[in-house]
Amino acid sequence: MKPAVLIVGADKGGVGKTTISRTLLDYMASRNLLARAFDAEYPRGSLKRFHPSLTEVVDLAAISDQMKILDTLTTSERKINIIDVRAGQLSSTLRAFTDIGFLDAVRGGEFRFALFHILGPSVASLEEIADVLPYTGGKNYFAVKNFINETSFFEWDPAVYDSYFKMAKGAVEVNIPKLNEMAYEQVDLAGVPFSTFIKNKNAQGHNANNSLVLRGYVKTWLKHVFDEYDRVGLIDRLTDE
Amino acid sequence: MAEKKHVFIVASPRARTGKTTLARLIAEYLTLTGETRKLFDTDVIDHKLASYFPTQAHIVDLERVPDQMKLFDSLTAGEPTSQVIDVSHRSFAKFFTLMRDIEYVAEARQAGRYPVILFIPDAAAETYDQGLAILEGFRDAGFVLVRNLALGELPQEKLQEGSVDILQSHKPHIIMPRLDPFTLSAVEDPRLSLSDFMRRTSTPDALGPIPPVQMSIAYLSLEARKATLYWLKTMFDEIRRATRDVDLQADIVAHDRFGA
Repeated sequence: MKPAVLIVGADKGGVGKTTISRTLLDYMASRNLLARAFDAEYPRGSLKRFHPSLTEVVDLAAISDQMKILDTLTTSERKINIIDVRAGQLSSTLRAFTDIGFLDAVRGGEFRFALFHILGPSVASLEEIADVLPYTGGKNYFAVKNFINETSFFEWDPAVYDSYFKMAKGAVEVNIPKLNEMAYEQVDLAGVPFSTFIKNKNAQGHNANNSLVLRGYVKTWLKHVFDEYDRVGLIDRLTDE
Repeated sequence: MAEKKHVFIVASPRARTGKTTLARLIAEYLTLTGETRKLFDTDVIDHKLASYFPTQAHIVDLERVPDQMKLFDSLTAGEPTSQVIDVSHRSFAKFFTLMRDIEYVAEARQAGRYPVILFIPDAAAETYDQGLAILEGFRDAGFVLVRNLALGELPQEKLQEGSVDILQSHKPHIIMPRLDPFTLSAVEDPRLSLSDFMRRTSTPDALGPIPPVQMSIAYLSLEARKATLYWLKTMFDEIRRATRDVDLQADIVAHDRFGA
């Protein structure tokens, strides 16, 4: 299988990028795909807190760190690369990847590439689509509406929304459902992957004492998220030759 | 094999089917057999079970997550005890959705408790459809069909319908005999402890003086008290038999699955 790069980003903070990256890592593991992650929230990484063994904290503005990711794509046995881009750096990261020639290599069929663009509830978020879209060539562009904290997207005028989506030909809309906030907080406190919380384990792999009810909420929610990734054919899009 | 702890889930999709009466009888039955138990009432509007056991029953609102945790997480907290859950018609759908989503049956069995669903249909055939969905949805739990004779019979032409036919021939079941209205109103007096009444009336000076807190019984004729006693004995026997039968079924299933 060809190496695949999945960029998770937004130009705004607080839209749940890291949460989405966490679900993606759980999803790949559930489908027996080896993945690694790069957390661009240098120098602290919040993704690394949940998935320490799979995650490396990087500074995407530094050449040496760009090399750390892109130059190891073919040699790493972990073919799925999830990059959690720091808020506000999505456009600049895509620009850098273009300059390096990575996106050309994608067009040449050398690598697989997908962009998970996490949309916020404001119209500014829609304008981001216009900024970001050209880099993807319209291919494997996922517009992710994150309802995990019950964000309402009502600020969006349907007509405006439609016009942006028309422009983004081939864009795939992904909806992440709401998770009960108490359950979300408990996983956050536990600092473990969602799948580990469900299995009632702690970070060391020992038995934890998580609430049965909250584990149930997380399990049902994660199943819906996985169903959504299945629905949009995420794996096929990343692995099809 | 160690004594099983049961989670008795008494449920009906309809109001006034005798759920609380049965839940109360099971609680009293456990008292008589000397078992510790936890009681939960899921009806926040009209919590009748809690009115019988004001200091013991926990009222839980299944719309609230902390209450859901109080109910379902009690499985893993503290010493294993039996539980009785009175599932109100108002929380019927919510309860079984939660139960399915959190895989309660598997978790309970792992924690050494065996969930037993006691389902009470009424005289409408739809309630049998709902009961059958529960039976099929929770195959790893015990299922007892409860026929409350006070609710009347189904119309003859409904008896052949799939879900009615399956549930009416389901084993184990519990038959709740009718009680005449006067005796019933005495039994339903919250001040009356049924286990206490049972103990008193089982001794040689049975049907002797009644303590003041049990006055509602004192108004009953000797005949009515005998009827009450007979009814209670029947119900406790039914509960004992049904519990034994679901345990036997569970053991047979475990045997078939894992060998001798």
